[in-house]
Amino acid sequence: MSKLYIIIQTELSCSLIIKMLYLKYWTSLIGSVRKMTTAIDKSSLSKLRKKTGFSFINCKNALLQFENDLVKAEGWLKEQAQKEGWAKATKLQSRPMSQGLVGLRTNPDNTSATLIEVNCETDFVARNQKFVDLVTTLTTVCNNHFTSFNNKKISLEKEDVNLIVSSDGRTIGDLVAYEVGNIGENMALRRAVHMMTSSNTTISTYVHVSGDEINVSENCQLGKYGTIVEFERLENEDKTLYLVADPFHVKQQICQHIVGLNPKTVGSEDDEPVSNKDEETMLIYQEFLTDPTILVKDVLKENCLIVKDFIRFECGERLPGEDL
Amino acid sequence: MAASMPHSMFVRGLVCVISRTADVLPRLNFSNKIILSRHSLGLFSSSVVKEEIDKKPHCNVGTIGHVDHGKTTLTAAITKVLSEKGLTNFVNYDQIDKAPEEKRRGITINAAHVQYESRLRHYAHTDCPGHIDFVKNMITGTSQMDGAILVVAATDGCMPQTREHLLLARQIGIKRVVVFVNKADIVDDELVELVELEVRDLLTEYGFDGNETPIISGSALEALNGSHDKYGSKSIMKLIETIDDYIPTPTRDITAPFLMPIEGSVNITGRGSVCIGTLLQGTINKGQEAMIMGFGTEIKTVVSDMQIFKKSVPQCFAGDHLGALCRGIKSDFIERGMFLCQTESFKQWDTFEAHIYVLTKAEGGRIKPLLHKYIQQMFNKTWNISCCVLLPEDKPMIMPGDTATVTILLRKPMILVEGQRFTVRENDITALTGVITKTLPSLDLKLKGFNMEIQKTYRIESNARLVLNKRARNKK
Repeated sequence: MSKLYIIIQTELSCSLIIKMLYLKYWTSLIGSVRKMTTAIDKSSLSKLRKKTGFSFINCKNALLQFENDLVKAEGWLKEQAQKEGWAKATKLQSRPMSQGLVGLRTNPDNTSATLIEVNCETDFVARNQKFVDLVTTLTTVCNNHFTSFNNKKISLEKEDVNLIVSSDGRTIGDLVAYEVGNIGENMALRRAVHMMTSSNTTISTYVHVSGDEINVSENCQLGKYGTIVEFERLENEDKTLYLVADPFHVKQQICQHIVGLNPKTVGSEDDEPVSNKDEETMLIYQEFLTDPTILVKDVLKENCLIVKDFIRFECGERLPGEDL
Repeated sequence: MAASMPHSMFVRGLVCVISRTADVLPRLNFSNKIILSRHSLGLFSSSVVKEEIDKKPHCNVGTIGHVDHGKTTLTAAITKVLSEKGLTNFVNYDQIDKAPEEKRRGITINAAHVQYESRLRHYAHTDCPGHIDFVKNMITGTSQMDGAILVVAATDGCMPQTREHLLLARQIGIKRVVVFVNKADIVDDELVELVELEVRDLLTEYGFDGNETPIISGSALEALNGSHDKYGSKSIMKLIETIDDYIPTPTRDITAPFLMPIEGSVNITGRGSVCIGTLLQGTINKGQEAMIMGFGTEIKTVVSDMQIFKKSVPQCFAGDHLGALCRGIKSDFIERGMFLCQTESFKQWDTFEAHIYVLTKAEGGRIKPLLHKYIQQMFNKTWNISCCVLLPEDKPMIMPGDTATVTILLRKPMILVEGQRFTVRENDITALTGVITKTLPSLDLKLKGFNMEIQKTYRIESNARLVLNKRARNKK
């Protein structure tokens, strides 16, 4: 009888002990949670937000995790930003993008240039400094990548361009996704083109900005329209070309003409001009922009130039083969 | 056009044309109708006034903010809450979200226009998706936007592009902004406070009064779903009351020196000419001295009599459409486009700065870009004259679809009113449309064929032989 009693007692006390242990565990947990919520320092939160620009909710979670350690929180946020960027980019990818910027970079020796187009949803973002910095970075990355190939002309579309790797190991896709997380709009690098000179040709470029001037950094130009034109100098009849200065001014005007009048091809002497001057798409038969009384081919002849090739980007233009 | 005024006022068979800013197409007569503000209402001499005293003053507002922060939801929520008070029609989310393309004078603008009425005022609310749509709306609209509602979601706080939104508000001349912190129901109050602080700093940075700007927090979605708690319709009502309070109604100035653009004139032999027009600002008293200015000429005269609706009145106020008898002037001298104004108050200018928008081919504009020293005819509500558009130094050309700030030269000096809209037409097409931002000192730029007058020497000969020869010739 007494043995049973003892067993029952021990059993009871065992369960009691277990219960007490459970209680202690939960209270300590609650206590630590309470400790965590009161530990979020308001000033640290606003400091972190000001420094990094990440959203308040993310900053709060970071501080929660690392118990107000600003350095660790910042590092974690940067890692998260890349992941979140991709998540957001995937979520937003179907939204139409009609705005953006064109970026142009010419190599210091003027032998090659790269032109890219980056799109976004609204023109507010297209003017924002973060977007401008992004396009500048992407232009530089693309330029460095293309120059290494030593190819006469390279043209890449969306899927291929986004795989290019930049100097810090991230791909272009990563860079864009990161900013999507920050800015919250659908963005993409649409296309990129690179042109290089041959031994007897030169390159001229022009970028047209719509509206206010954009903060230009290094030797990168940003705007709404961009063009790269390859010229060749033709020996004139007297063979005195070496005495004539390089017609830089005229080349610039031809670049502006190409941006302004949107020719589709250079055209050759064998082709016929279209009857309606306003609908002419061949460069040489178009009326010159700054002097509508003469044609482009007359200007070129006068300055002993031929246009070998050109590229024109208009940000947001409809491309053949693409749906809206 | 909800951005301009919705009601037409036909009183005694005549339409009152009142415009603070001149309209553009000369073909469009009497299409500018503005609801009179309460201040100027009580002082009109005509009995037109008594019927309009009950009309509420009008105000133009717009929403700016990030795409996902709930601008459209807020607009829909405002109409919903006010529709419950019986003052407004409810416009739901889908109708606003479409932001349909509207054609205003041929120019395509993406904007959603919504109207609502609070207890105190009537509002025309505009929401545009892009920067350029707001600018186009400003350039082609009949009146300025008086205030803006900046929408920021508490979950994200200020976005990088919030800076651009505030910059735009500055550019289109908005002086007062009311902030609505949206999605406040899903974050805690501390966070909302931090967001508020951030917004205030940003406002100050962009030249707005960060400390005085009212910030309301709530949830547009809750209000739209019919909730009546503090995050729902209560927050929307608070927002409306704040807008009523904080954003001022533009009032017509009656203390300014009087100015009346002359639309036409009638000769009255022996007494002078009657100049017909609508008084833009100020008051005219019978017997007051006045100047008739325009096209570089000015002449002093006295307003000996004034008539409104064929009845003689001793005094006229801003907004009245009147005929003023100017003593001693022949009506041949008066041209449409001249102004009748107070002595020694106005100067004529031939150079000014303007915000312009160059129309695209699809809108009926040019195909080629605009170059420096573009000379064409400039059309205004009351006058047209040859003008020369000078591009800024850093821009070699302006593409169709672009906006820019340019300097414009007129062939002859005219009286210019800031905020006046105009178009520049080339043959049959409208090349660009713009609004005058400020007058500039004369540039002394003489262009051949434009404003350069070549001195011609005339030789006058006469003696008996010449006269006899001439007579002989005529006889033949």
